[in-house]
Amino acid sequence: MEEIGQYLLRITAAAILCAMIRSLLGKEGTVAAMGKLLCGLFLAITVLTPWAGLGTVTFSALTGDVSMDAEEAVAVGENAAREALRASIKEGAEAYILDKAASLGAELTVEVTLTLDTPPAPGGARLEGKVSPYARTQLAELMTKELGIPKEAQQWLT
Amino acid sequence: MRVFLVLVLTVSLVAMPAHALDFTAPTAPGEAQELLPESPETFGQGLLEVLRAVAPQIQPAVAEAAGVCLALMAAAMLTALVESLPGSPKEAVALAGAVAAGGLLLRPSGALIRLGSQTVTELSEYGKLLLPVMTAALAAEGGGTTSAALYTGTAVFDAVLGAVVAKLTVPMLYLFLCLAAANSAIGEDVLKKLRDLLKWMMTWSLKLVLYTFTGYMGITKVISGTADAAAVKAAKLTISGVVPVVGGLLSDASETILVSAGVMKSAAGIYGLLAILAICLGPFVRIGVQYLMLKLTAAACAVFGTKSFSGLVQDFSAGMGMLLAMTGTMCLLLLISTVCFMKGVG
Repeated sequence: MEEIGQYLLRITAAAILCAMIRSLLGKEGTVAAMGKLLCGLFLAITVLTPWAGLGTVTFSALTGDVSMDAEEAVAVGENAAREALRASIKEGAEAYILDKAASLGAELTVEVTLTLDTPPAPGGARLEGKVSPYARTQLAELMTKELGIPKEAQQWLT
Repeated sequence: MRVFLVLVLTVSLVAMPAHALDFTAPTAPGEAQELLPESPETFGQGLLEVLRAVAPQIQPAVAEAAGVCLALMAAAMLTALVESLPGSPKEAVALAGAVAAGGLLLRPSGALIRLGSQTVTELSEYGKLLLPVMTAALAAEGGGTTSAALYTGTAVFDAVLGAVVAKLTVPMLYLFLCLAAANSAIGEDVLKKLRDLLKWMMTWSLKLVLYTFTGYMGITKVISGTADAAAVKAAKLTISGVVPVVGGLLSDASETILVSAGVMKSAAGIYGLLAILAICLGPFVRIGVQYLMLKLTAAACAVFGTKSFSGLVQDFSAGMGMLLAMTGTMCLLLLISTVCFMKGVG
């Protein structure tokens, strides 16, 4: 506020001074014209001096590493979605196997592992519990045909 | 039997994945948080709650502005009275009137300019926190390209507008008010052109930033939105092809994840929109009331006051108008950006 008050005072004082000089020099003649020009110049300098400090900032300083920040934020979202999809496929495949096992009279716990591909797919299964040879054959067949888990990637623990 | 198993798998897949995704909008700062509803169900309901919370601020703002305006009218009457006296020096009366009006207006205007500037900073800071959340949510929904482009655009324009306001508009606003006061004090329109030039520069710098930003947002949505929609469709087809029999169901699971990411994004977006409005509505009311009251005072002063006095009040009212434009531009920039994020893929 103090700076503004001083600026205001400077302009007003300069304008009053110019008005006094111009009234002393009269309205016509070369001296009056010269006086008018010099007064205008003086007033313009007084008014424009504070403008010199405006707008001194570079574009790169403003924006910084915006692209890097954007990529980081996108990666956070995509990773979260990828993890959610992996969890969803894993749990879905396990639920599918467990339901089939229950219908065959087997009591199992199952853990499905996923491939690292994008999108992920069931790549292996670890099954533990009581299961008859018939049910085991049926389940192994189902995992291969319907979930794409090869027989060599199926691990049976009894 | 197979139909039953497929049904079980469908239910389990649809019921599962939302827990893994969590995108929450940042809490609004300070006073704005008090204006926000606890848990708005819809944007309309939330907006109504914010407006209800802001409404009590109108009366104190009117009372505060009315005090200044009454003092201005008294000063205008006194100036007109002195000027009407025979042999009174008109230049000295104009100078005294300008000093009185300037003295009465500079302090409240300075406080409002600081408030406007602080609001722009708060909005910008909140935008910087909200932006990564909305970007991540949109990327999780399958809009990686769009979200990166929207993030870049918003961050750049937010920084540019922040710099324009801090380095250009606010100092120019002070200069504008000073030149208006000095012009009125001198009595002749010596500084009128300079004052008008400042006003033009402030208005156009804000308009330029906003127009360019909206243009960029429009183009970004058209170009990257189509690419993202195609990528999402391709990903779904790939998933259904990878797993022999139940691939289609797993592909539905991926869609469920996209939907849940969309729901989270909408919730974060609605809260973000309300928070942005809550940050700027309070200051907007105070500045807006001062703007309207000064307009009224300028009109009243024009009836019985001197021309230079009412002109000065009119200039201060224009200054408040520009302050509203400055705050409104930053608010609008963030609102447009958030809505673009909420619109999603395709």
